[in-house]
Amino acid sequence: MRRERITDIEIKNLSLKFDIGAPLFNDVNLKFPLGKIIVLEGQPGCGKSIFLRMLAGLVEPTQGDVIYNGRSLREMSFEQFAPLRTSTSICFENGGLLMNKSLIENIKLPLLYNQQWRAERGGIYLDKLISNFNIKDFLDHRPAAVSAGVRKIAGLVRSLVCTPQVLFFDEPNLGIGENAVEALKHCIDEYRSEGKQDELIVMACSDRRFIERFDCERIQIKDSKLIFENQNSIEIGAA
Amino acid sequence: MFILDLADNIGNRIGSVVRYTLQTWTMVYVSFRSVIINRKHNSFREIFKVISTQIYFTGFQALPLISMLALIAGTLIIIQSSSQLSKVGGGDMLGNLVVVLIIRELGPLMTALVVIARSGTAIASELGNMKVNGEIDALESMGINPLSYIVFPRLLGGIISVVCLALYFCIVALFGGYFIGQFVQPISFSFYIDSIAYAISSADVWLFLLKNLFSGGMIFIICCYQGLLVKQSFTEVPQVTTKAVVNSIMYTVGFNSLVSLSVYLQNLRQLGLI
Repeated sequence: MRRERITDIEIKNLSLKFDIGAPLFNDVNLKFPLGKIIVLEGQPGCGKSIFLRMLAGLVEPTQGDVIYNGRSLREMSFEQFAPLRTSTSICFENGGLLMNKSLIENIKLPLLYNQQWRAERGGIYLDKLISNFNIKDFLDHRPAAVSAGVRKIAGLVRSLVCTPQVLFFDEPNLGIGENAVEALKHCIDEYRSEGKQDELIVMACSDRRFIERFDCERIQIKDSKLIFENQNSIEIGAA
Repeated sequence: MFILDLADNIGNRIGSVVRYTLQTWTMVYVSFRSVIINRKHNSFREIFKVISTQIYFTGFQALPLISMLALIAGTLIIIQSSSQLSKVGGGDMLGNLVVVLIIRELGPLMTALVVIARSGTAIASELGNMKVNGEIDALESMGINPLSYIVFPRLLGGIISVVCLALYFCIVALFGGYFIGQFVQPISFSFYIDSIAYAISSADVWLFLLKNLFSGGMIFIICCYQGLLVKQSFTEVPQVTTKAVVNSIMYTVGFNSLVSLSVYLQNLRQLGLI
């Protein structure tokens, strides 16, 4: 599948409310600057993960729009959004692996299905990631046969191997061990040092020590609102 | 008041059946559409892998159970038919009775019930668990349409498996049943073969295909649909699995009965009895 370059990501008047409880987000506006790392912080349950899922087009907001390249996700079918979606990648908090496939099958699936195996750096980059994250011994195991940490690492490798333009990480360093955290830091630094100006990493993270290792914009999610630490760098609406 | 309540209940029930049918067929339409329209974008190799896995689980792994049931059913039908028909001097009708019972009725029905019990439950619970584990979201995030990667191959693999299993059931019941039946009720093999060959008509083939294609389709459509209805909790999985089994049995048995009834009514009409 041919990827479409993302030129801007924006959220307009976004609100999210479930059947029970107070709204998670209320009339949030934000334009994401490409070429940066954005970190979403907040207490557990404040809505970091669901905000990431909304941005990735996996959860539909109650009101408002998530807009990619000037087109609202509400107005795009799955097929219309697919070329933009394959320019993004998300690493879920639990890894998000398919349980009936081995780790290596899981990792290769997006590349094989979207026929990007030859187009991308493919095998060489995959070998490098596997070696950096040290999961070679587990590749033929199914997710249920390995620890949660290894599942999470496999999810990280799957999201990185596609070399996406936009990366969404949900608690990427949680439960993966010191060595894998270092490998992840190395991958992100490498990803950022390639001189490309239109990459974006949006990370939901509650570990301040990990966040402080990056030059990033920080957004605090509190009381259904986004609170910005440095308002100059991000275009904000009625947040 | 009682009549109004009754009419209200019947109306609601019919409405919910129509709604359910429409929703399931919408899922089928979208899954086929996403595979066919996006044939340039989808990896058919990956989809084919899922189809072949489905055929292996639903078709190949069910062979021992189907063989046993077919042998038992075939033996009993041949022994009973032969002994009862010979009492009334209708031994020549053995082929007709065996063909009607095995090819038209028991083959499709028993195959469908075995597939519901083995694969229908497996698919509904598998998809339910995938939904709760976030695997469906993960597929979407990779640009893979779950309907084309999960529903379409299961549906196609399931239909192929059901038709092949039913054919296998009929062959094993007709021939295996004959050979085992020889120990109890000896029948000449040439007479038996001639009788069967004379009895099989194109109508039997069409009815066999119609019933099995519909059963296969409905079982896998319903089970996929029920599995995808799970929202958040693992406790929903057994509930949707039970509902998938009940609905699959209702649709399959209902359709098979309806087809059989309409065929026999037409036969009676041709004979001028109604």
